[in-house]
Amino acid sequence: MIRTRSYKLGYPLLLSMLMVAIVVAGCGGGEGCGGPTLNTARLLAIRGSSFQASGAPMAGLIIPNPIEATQSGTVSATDSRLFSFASGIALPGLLNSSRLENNFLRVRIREINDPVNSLATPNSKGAFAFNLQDVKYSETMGYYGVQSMIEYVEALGFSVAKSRPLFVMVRAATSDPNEINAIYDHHYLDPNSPRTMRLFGETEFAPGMDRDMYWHEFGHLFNESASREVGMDFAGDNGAIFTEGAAMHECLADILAESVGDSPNIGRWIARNLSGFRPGEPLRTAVDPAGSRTMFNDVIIADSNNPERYAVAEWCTRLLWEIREDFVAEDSEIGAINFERMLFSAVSLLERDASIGDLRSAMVSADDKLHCGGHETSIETAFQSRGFIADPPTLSNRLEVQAEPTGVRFTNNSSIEVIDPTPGQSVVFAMRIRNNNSQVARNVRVKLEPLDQGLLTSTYLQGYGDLAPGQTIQIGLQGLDFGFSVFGEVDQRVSSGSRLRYQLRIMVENGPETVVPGEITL
Amino acid sequence: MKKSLAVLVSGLGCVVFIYLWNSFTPSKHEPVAEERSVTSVSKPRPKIQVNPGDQQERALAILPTVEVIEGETPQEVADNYLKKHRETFNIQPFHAPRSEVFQSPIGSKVRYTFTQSGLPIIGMEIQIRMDSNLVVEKVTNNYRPLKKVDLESLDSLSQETMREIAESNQYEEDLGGAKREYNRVLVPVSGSDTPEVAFVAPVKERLPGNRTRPVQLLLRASDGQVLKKSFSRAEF
Repeated sequence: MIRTRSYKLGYPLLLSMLMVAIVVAGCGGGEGCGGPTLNTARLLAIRGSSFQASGAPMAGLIIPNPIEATQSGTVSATDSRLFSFASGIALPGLLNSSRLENNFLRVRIREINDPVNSLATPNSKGAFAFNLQDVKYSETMGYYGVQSMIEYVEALGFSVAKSRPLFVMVRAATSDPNEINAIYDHHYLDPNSPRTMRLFGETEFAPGMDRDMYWHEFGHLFNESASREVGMDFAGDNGAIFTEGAAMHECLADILAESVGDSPNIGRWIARNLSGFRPGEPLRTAVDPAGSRTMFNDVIIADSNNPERYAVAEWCTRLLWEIREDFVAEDSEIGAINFERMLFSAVSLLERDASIGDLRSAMVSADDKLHCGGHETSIETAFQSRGFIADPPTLSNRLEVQAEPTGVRFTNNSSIEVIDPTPGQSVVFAMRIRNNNSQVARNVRVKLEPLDQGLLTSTYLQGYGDLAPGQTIQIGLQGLDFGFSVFGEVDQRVSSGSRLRYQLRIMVENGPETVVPGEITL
Repeated sequence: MKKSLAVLVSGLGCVVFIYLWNSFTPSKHEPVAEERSVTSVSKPRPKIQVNPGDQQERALAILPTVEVIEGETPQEVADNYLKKHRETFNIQPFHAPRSEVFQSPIGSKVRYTFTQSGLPIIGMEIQIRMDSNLVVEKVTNNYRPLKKVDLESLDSLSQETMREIAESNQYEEDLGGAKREYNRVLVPVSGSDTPEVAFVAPVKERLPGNRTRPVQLLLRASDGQVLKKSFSRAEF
């Protein structure tokens, strides 16, 4: 009886298990999707500012900045209560314990050549502990901020472009004593030069005191690194005022800081320096204000104010934050980590001068590789519900374009003087672009293509966002200023009287290109 | 018994289905070790793509035949690929490659840029992209076998003159940049098989409202002509 029972129950069970195993290995996932195993303990430790770095020097820092730490919008650097909000944090990755630098990251105050004896050194206990208003506090925050994010993205499975050092100036030299800003230079045109991150401002709300400023600015370096230095916004690198790639660059830098910091806000500290912000109000936020929802058309339809790269960036972070929330709902512990890995894997798939549509497709593809497409619906829903149509209706007619080249000269008072096209001077194009369709023209761009050797491009492409049905935009003369146009340089070797041929390529995502040939007579 | 027979038939059916499926469907993710051990089986030919860049960069497509590439790391695979196809790419002996590896959880890319006599050549590169199994997926190439620039007998303006040109009219000195000599680079230009020598001037562009923004200018060494510009990413 026992054997019979064993036969009757055991054999089918064995077969069933075999079949399930075969199905899982062969029919199912196998090697089809799923990324490398994550070191979640390390990632969570970095997110929590608790490095396991035995013997590393300690720092006393208010993470991420006094406003976020105290949850008081009115707190300032001189507030005596702040002392109790400082955390003891290990500083990882130092080359030696007395200087805030390693082989890649080098922190300075004003400029690359700062005297070494002016830089922060640890106290007698080996700790980097300074008063918030002391610039050495900002140096310490600069080192911690950048190094912590480097280690984080490396733990996520990404490399960081380290072929040249990164210098971080926490109160960078400037001719304008009131300048408040943060600037990242990838130095595409000078490969023998280091990369630089410069924070400007010496007020009691100095940007250098805020970890998130370093996280955001490092985000720009990481965007270039994750996208294999392909030039995801090469047009922006070359001077374009707006491109979707430029907005994405800002969006990705923001969302990196926001997601890893577990806060949808960025710039609450730096915004205290700016007019138009209430105390504690962030510079940008990844969540909509109560009762409103930012839609794509709100920020992308061209007019005298739009599209503006930071407004589109903020729309983009709100969309990404919704996708992040889906990841977090799925796994409260590592959902955000999975989201970040998926998002920046998508960035690794972008090509030169990428668009928002490219990012959307790349996210679907990255999620397919990492999560077997488990978040495809979430991604598509987020874009759709924010008004981004993946396949907009095709335009019935080409865009109507009129363009006229003109020479320009820049004067000492930073204005542009219109002149005849002249060797050695710039040329720019007055343009009128009309969407004579009943459909929206998606992602309108103009590209300058010289056809003769004596015409060089500087700002070779500009983006104008979307044109509504029937809408016309005008650049130069009576419209947007010439800064919104494409620029060329007439080689001074070209003799007067010469003619230089060019063509303007007007590109749109949902319709055919329009090519406008022309000639510049010198 | 009938139940167990049904399970057996179903199981065998699935096995046959899987066998047939795997026989006729090329796997996107074949294990690398297996591929390398079977040298008679070529890897899928990677997609070769020309990156057009801007109009200054005249791209050149080359289509090398790709076989099994040895290597345990992205750098090794890419180095071996480049070594194997150096002649096909027509890489000149005076053009030294510099590489940088970019890794992500879903793949790697090795980017080669080039120098002549230590001077970087702007905008000319070969990119080799691999999946997570180090299978070469795509090669992007805009390398051009440009002629060697004679740097010894170069007709060049001095650093001082170049600085005067750079910091005039709409530009001013960038105090945040290092006070140092301008670096030199080589710039391919359309219509010429010899690159131009240029200085890189980090300056600030004056904008209306007393604002400025950092910009790098590429100034031709012989006469200070602006060849290219590159701008920073500013927060505002």
